[in-house]
Amino acid sequence: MNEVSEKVLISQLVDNAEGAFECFVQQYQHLVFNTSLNFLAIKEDAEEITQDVFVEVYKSIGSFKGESTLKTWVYRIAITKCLEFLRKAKRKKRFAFMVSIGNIGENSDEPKTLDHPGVLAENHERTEILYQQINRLPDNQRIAFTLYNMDGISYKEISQTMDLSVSSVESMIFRAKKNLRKKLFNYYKKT
Amino acid sequence: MKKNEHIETEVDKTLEMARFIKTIEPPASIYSNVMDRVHGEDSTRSGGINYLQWAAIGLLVLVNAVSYVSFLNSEDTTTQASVSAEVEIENLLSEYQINDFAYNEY
Repeated sequence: MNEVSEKVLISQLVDNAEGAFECFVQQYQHLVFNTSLNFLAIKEDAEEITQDVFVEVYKSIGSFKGESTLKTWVYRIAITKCLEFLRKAKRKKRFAFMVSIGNIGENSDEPKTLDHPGVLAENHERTEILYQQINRLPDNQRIAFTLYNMDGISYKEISQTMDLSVSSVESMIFRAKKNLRKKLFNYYKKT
Repeated sequence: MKKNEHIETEVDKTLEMARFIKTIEPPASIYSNVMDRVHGEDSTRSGGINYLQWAAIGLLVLVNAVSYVSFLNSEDTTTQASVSAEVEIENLLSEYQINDFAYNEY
């Protein structure tokens, strides 16, 4: 989208002009849904977060200062929502684990870790292992790795989204890969 | 050494998986779902009524309806009582009239 039409869209969104928000959702739903899916790996969760992102945009478009592009702003909201969701999920998992200790012998349903329709069936097992290790990365490395390797966005765009220099992003992706290699190596060594 | 080589190959293959993830078309219902949520939240914020409040109102109406029905039932017995009282009075009056008449005759 060029700069002029983006400015027009933003002012229409702020004025709540008829059809503006629908136009915005049509333009950005592919990006938001796929980014959420790549972070969360579960289709249902990605749908929920996609809705959360657009509700947030609807409520806070008035506070958008235009210091970044609309796309960067949307990316930031999506990533924040995904990380919040993952943190909550981790807390729930911990709680469920504590409960399961108390109920030895009772069957507890294991939550799904991968339900990503973009993953081919023959790659399912390996991708699930990869996600398990990505989940153990620090947030910054995880964001940089996911955006670059899964969403396929450029270093420059990642640097704008994360508000870092391009070289910092490069080193973050390098460290993420190194960490993943180490974690995967340990995983395969044990199995 | 050979075992480590095998592990390294597994690691490489697994890391590669990140690049094989395809993009997916988002569900068609995103816009309508978002608008439903936005309007739902708007009506709640602007003093509208949410589901919980509707449930409370429903319960209140039900309780009132029950107490009204029991009130009607109790009014029925009152009506019956007042009817029998009226009959009693009429009987007394007619008796009195008869007596009165009888008294006049004398």
